[in-house]
Order: sequence, then C-alpha cells, then structure tokens
Amino acid sequence: MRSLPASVTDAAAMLRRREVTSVELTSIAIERADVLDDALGTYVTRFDDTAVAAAEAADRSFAAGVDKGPLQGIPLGIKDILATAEGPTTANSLILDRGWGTHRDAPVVRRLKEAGAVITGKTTTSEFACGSPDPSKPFAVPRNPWDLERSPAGSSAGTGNGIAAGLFLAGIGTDTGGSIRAPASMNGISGLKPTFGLVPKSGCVPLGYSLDHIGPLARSARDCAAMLSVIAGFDAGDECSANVPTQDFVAHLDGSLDGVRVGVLSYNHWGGSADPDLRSTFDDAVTALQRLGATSVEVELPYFEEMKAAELATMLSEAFAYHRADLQQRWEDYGRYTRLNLAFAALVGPEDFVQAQRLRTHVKRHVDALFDSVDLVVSPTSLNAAARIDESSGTIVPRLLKTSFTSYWNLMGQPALAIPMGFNAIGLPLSIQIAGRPFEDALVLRAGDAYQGVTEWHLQVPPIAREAAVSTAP
Amino acid sequence: MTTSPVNAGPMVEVLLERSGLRLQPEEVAELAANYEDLRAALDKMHSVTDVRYEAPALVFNPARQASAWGA
Repeated sequence: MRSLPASVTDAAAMLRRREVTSVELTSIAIERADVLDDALGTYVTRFDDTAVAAAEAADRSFAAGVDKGPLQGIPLGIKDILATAEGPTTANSLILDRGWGTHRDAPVVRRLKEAGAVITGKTTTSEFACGSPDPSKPFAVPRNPWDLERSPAGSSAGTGNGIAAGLFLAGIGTDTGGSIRAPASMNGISGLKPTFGLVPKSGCVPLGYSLDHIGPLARSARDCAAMLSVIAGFDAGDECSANVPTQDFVAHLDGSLDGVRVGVLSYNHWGGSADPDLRSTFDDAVTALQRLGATSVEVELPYFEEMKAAELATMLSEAFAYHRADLQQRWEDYGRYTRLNLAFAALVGPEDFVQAQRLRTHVKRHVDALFDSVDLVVSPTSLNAAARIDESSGTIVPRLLKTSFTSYWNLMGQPALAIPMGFNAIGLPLSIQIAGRPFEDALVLRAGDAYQGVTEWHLQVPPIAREAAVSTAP
Repeated sequence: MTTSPVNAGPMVEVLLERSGLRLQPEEVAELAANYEDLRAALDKMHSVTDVRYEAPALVFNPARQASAWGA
C-alpha cells in the first residue's frame, strides 16, 4: 500500500513540482482508509466521491496556473462536530438532529475548500466532544495507531489518529479543555489550540461556549501554521470572533528563538503519577529550546488548582444549558459516559459558574503580569502517555480534577501548541506544550517549528502505518 | 462547606431531581461518589478572597447581533 508524503509542506512542494497530483494523493488517502479505518475507527463518514472531485478541481487549478496556497489539493479530515455540505454531522451521537447543518459548511470548512483543500470525510469525536466511547452505541471506538489497545485520546480522536496513521495529511479538531492537544500528544503529532476568537467557531456543535476553540492538527507546527493561515479570521456568525487582521503564519517561522524568554512550568504543578520518562524527556526538550537561543526561567501558574474547578464549573454549566432538555427526554440515547459527564452539571450551582468567571478575570491579571517577564510558558502536554482503552473510560470530573496542563489555557483563551518531544520506555509518544500571549499564535508556532527543525520526533510513524506502507512515493 | 460522603447520595438525588434528570441507581451512585471532591474543588474557588470585587468574564454587547453562521 502506498503512503502519503510526510507532511502538508512536503506534499505541497511535490504538487508544485508536478511529482504528484491531488487525485493521486486523494486516492492514496482512500486506499489507506480502506485498509486501516476498521482498525483505527478514524472516520464517522467518508466523502470519497466528493473528495476525488475536489482533487480533480485542484489539479485543474494547478494546470491552469492557479495557486491558492499550500492547502490546494491536500487531503484533510474534519472532526464530526463541524458542518460540511457533503454529509450529515453526527457529533458521534444519536441525539443531534440529523438536519443540523445540512448542506452547509462551517466557516472554517468553507475557508479550507476555498483554499483548494480536499475534505476526505468526517472524523470520530467523543460524543459531543465530552464523552468516552460507549460500545453499545453505533459508533466506532477509536484506537491509537501506536498501540491499538490504547486510546488516541479525545475528543478530536479521529483527526489525531488519522494523521498519525497517514489517512490524511492534516485536519481540524476542537478544544474545550485539551481536545486538540491531548490527541496530538497521544498520537505523536502536532496540534494548536489558537487564541480564543481567532478562528470562528460558528457552524460547530458547541460544548462550552466560552471555552471552545477550533484549530488544526498536523504532522508539524509548520503544517499547523499553514492551516491556521487559512482558517483564522473574523466571522460575524460567531459572537466571540475577533476582528483582527489575518496573516501568513508560515512567514514567521525563521527557525530561531534568539531572545525569546521561556517560562518552564514548575515541577510543583506536576503532581503524582507522571510517566517515569516524562521528566527527562521534558528536560531534554527545554535544553533544545535553550540551544535555539531561548533563555528559560522556572514559573508557576497562578491559581493552578482553583482553575481546574473553574474549568469544570464553566464547561459543565455551558454544556448543560445546551443538553438539559435532551437529557430529560432522551437519557438512554446518550452514551453512558457522556450523559454522566453532563449530569455532573446538576451538581454545580449558578454561583459556582459566576465565581468561575470572576476567577478568570482575576487570574487573567496575574497571567498577564507573568507574561511581562516571559514570552512563552512550556510544560508537558499530558502527565502520561496513551492509556489502555479499558482503563481510559470514565467520567470527566475525577479526570479534570487531576493534573491538567491544557485546560488552564482554555480559560485564559491563550494559544497553546502540543508537539512531540520523544517516547517513553514502551514506545508511546510524549509531548511538550508551548503557550503564548493572546494573539501571539505566530510566536508559539515559531517556537514549535524551531524545535522541530532540530528534532525528528514529529516525523516518527507508528508501526501500523509503517507496516501498511510499502512505498513512500505514489 | 463540604458535604460528607454519607450525605452525598441524598444531596445528589435532590439536585438531579431539581434538574429533571432521571438516572439509574448505579448512575446516581457514581455521581455521588465524586460529589465530595467536586464540591470541595468548587468551594475552593469561593475561598479566593482577592476575587471579592472582580467582575465576571461575561459580556453582553447590546450593539452586536451575530448573523447566521456561514452567511
């Protein structure tokens, strides 16, 4: 079976050198899905026919000398909570009205199509982006390509495992508490939660209105930058959309971190039960950043513990407003873990929700002050590598009350990039998170790209993808 | 104030009833088992005295009306 090029960047260059066509790339993506999707549970719905048609259109554009940028002709996957005109959106749930978003593209999807991208299908998500898989429901259980007995994490599970296994070159996920960065971490790829408001979330089924972010997952930070350049920008359909100038995020990637001040999250925040290889791997990553020109200082995140509760109070309350009527009337139609997660909201009071929003205001002042002395804050993305599927199910409250390095940045709305930084003793990916000031997504991506310029962790391919590949060129 | 584990079950049942949710007994038990930790974490937010005079991060803009998405 053939394999896709290593990255969007490589594929874009090959397309322009006429070494491959978009139709060839898309046929490889389809071929790999035919072989691997049953094992991985990547797709909810595949769009093979429309994908080939989009690829043919991209090739016609190339032939006519029309170049819409680096995503032209590139096969992508879209998390199945964003509307796409090609087919239904399920949110991996029996609950969502099948008429929702019919024949319409979310603004992010529309922008990708306008840039010439090829949408291969809708990818598996945790139900409504907040549950764990329930095998009794008619949706695939997603699996980790590095070990099929392990979880790819969620909620952007299919986008994450699909990129890692080479079913498409990049994709779209959403992140309310870590749902882009956790799959990036567990699948050994890169994923960016952009600044809140930079990418419009209209046309996306909500989870937590003030916490939801749409962003890219891809092999590399450079590929994420190419994706962000297309999907960022104001949209009047999103109350939270920021009217800021669009930019070419790839243009900022110069490979240097000279003069960049990096705050390294104190080990005091790690808590117990970290992967035994996490600390040495993280220390190596920080050393690599220093060699690229960065200076570093240990930092603590203000109100780190209290912010876990603020995340729960906010996400549960906002999600419950959306789901309450359906939970009352169709309890059994929800997956077991989704309905229990959402029911926790009944235990949260209105004063808890407002206090969480007061805390966000207060902590923001402290975090702004912290970023007076540093330009970036780095931490592990997750304390542990991918969990076994039979150990990864469960409800959200105990999980989020443990150490979470990701949800803090949802509450603060600041950009945070997860990129691979090595492997643990049993060959599972570990990841570093790089967070920055609001609307300084370019610096976050620059740091990730510089790191990936001197490391090759992001280029590692899981065994199932290697075994499936017998050639590297179409 | 933190509720003791002994009282969590009835408390959780009342709160679920108030929200109109009807759960299986084992599901109520799962929520009750986590109630004390959740309530303690939420209460910790209220103990941050410096938040006393902060305004919540909630904004309603009377001049802005979102259009239908994709329009």
